[in-house]
Amino acid sequence: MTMSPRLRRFALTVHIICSIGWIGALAAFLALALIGLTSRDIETVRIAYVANALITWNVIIPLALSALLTGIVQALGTPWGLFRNYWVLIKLLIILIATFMLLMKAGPISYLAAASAEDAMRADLFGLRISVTVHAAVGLLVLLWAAALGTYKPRGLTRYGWRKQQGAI
Amino acid sequence: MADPSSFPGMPRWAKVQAVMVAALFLAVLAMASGLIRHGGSAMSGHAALWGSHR
Repeated sequence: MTMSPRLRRFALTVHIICSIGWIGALAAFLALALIGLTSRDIETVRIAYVANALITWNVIIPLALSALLTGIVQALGTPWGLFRNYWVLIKLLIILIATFMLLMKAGPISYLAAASAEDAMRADLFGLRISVTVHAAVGLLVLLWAAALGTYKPRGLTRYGWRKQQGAI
Repeated sequence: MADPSSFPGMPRWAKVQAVMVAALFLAVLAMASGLIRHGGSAMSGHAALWGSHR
């Protein structure tokens, strides 16, 4: 199933917007997490974590799921395929892992927001604040890795892609 | 001499990145098992932020 060039360009545009939007939103999240971690002002800390939870649920999660979905559509609708090239396969795995990590962290992020709204300087939240910040930083690096793979598209066919190319399947 | 009609194999960059993906996967699995043990999940967090609809 190959898309027409016009449809392919549209799908690619949507995929790029979702993917880059996810990176931008996560960068904003990381900035707020760092402010929440280092600020001494109670109101600033409270606002940072509540904003982070709202960004997570309303921006990051929808963009992540859209990027994953449009990426799969883009791969299946073009000659690149989903399992033919190593760079597509590795990028798919990276995005699946990043999305899973995001969904697992959404709960603690919301808990941190709710707890900070009551008492922003609770000492027992320090570990969770560190964890959220570290995961955001690692998540950002992982997304940049995926973006670089999608840009460079390094050569290398999988066994399945090679067989397809040889016409054996 | 290698047969030109045989599968050329996995390129070196893909091998390196496959190891990196495996390490990332294991790290995320470890994080997820820790979160599940402590009762954290997306839905419990959603309820914490906006309240349960029950």
